[in-house]
Amino acid sequence: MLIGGLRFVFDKIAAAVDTELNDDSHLREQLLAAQMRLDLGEMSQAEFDSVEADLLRRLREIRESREGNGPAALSPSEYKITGIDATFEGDEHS
Amino acid sequence: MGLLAARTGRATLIVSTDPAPSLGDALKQRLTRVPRPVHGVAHLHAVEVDSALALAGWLKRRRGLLEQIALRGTWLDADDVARLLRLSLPGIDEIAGLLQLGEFAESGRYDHIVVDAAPTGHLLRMLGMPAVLEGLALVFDRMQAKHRTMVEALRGRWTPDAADALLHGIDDQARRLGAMLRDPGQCLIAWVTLPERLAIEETSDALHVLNGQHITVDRVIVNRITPPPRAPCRWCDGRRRIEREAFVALEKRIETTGLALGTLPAVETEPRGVASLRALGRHLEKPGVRPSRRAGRVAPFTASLPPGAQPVEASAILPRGTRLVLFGGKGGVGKTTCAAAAAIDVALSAPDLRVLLLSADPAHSVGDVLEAAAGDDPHPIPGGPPNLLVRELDAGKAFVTLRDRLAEGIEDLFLRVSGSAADRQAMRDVLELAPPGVDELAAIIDVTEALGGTGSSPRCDLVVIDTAPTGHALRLLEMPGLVHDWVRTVMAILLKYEPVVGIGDLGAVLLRLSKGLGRLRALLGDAARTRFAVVTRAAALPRAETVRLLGRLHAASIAAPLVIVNAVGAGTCSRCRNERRRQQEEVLALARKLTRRSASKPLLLLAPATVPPPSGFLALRGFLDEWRTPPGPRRR
Repeated sequence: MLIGGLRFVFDKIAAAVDTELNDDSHLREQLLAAQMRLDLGEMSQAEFDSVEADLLRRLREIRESREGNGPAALSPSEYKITGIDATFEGDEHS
Repeated sequence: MGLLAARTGRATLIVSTDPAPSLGDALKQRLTRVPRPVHGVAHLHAVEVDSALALAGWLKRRRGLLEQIALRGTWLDADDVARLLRLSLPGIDEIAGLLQLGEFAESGRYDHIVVDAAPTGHLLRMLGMPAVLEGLALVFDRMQAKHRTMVEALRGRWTPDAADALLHGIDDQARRLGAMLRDPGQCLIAWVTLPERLAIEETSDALHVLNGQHITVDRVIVNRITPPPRAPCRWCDGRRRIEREAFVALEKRIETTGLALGTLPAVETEPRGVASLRALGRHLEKPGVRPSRRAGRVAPFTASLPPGAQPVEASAILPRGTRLVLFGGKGGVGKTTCAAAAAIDVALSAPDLRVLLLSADPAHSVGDVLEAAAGDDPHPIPGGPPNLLVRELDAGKAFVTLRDRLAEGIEDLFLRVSGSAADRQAMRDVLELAPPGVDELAAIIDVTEALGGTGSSPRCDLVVIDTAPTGHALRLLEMPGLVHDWVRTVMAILLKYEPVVGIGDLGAVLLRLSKGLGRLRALLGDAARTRFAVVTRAAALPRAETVRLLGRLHAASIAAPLVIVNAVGAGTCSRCRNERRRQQEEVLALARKLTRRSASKPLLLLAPATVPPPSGFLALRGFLDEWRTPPGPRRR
């Protein structure tokens, strides 16, 4: 049982490393995590802006390397993340 | 009824489980959460249940074991479990009320227990609580099952431990409570109502629901029947006609059920204190007062308000820019009527605004007061303005929708964790339980979406909420904060395990909920956009409740700039003249209380008594125009 447990952990780490390098879904999750931390107050707006900028840059790089295109401008408002829009509709009630 | 029972020499306890209790006011004695003898009456004690404290006590004795079970049965760690168990489950106090009742019943100290229950919608929920408790026990049992299996595998056998005993105890307690409520030998339910169409409709619906749950109602008591006037009086005669209509309708509804029907007369002075209550109780023993025998058309009559009462600007009632207005107060005062009248008035005078009239009272009356079919799907009133939508929220359905949204995210999470089938089942079981505060939960989610708009419907400019009676209106207002705490706690737990598991759709759903709740809470605290209108009557019990309600609203930072005294005025006979005088005294007393208490004095409004009560779109349309501010103090 112990062996099985270790194996499980190793598999997870391997998958995570793999994910980190190649998979944009992982980056999108990190963006979601950052949004959640901002909402919880664990992160300041300034910190979030910086993390968001970094993640979007890396996402763009992955997209470009896949498509083989030149650099393309990517604004936060264009990007849809895991079912939650990066723009927050209904935000203003004034 | 408590007094009657005590007279037989049997030890009797009167319990109020209403979160906004008036029992102490009625007995004219201060009550606490510990039973106290009623002054001047042998064999009688009274108590007002404090659900929060009762629950805290119940939980404290069990928390350690519950934490242990959760730790064993899930992959959460001690920190996570402690955080979750520390959160207050929205609406859990209904369970607590019932558990307290059970404890009193099983203590053996009392032969009779008379319960002054919470208003309809929440009484019905409370009666459904044993099933919820059983469900909770089952959920924890599944967590415990994992532990049992492991121990059996390691040791070869399982000996029931303290945790098992606890779960068995909870399940057993739930079953005993459920059985007690359904056993006519142990539990009698008397349903008290008024001889008015709306009250009869509510009674009829409630009887139907209780029947479906196999809970027996022993009798229906129709309260406040207007006695014949000593001289012809347009008010009294009109009241007697509509009361007769309502009474006959009720008789028809219950004729096949074998329910006993009792009556109580309207008395000149509000029955308070033991002596008056005793006198009233005698009416329950002998054949009761009957409503008028004469049928006939009701001549509509609107009582005149005191001379000097001033009209009021509509903008003083609902200023432009208001996004949320809640009408609340004691049961039976006329919240629904006032809410409907206000919604209609705004919709007609501002056709550019989209107005939603939302009933958050599980015992919905909005459709009845509009004399139109209303349901869970918002739609305009036939013959009414197209910009006014009406909705009677189906909380059960709304909860299922929310649960399904969460369930997908949770399934996704479990796939990542590769959790066992037992874990998944435990999670599904948790999600199956409709929380006790489901009505309030559904209402705040609906309000959030109505105000913000969703993909399928544009946003509403104004939401007018007809709340459940006081205690639950307050819970409605506490709900956003409580749910927000829950959502954020789960979010924090997800983030903690994110490096191993990832977050997925569940995180996205929770984040959206959290943002919506944050916006709602900001809106609730903004006096320019949210207001609570307290509806009351010119009588002592409603006044006492109003003052307490205003205090609670102030403490919750909710603006309450309006107090509407409904059904003011009476007719011309001698009884009516006395009644009008008493009402004026009550209004003065209320005005004095309002001036004394708050920095920002609420606007006091008087709404006239009408016979028949305003009902249907056309009658409600004019009702707001009749509201007046009371005359100023007389100059000497």
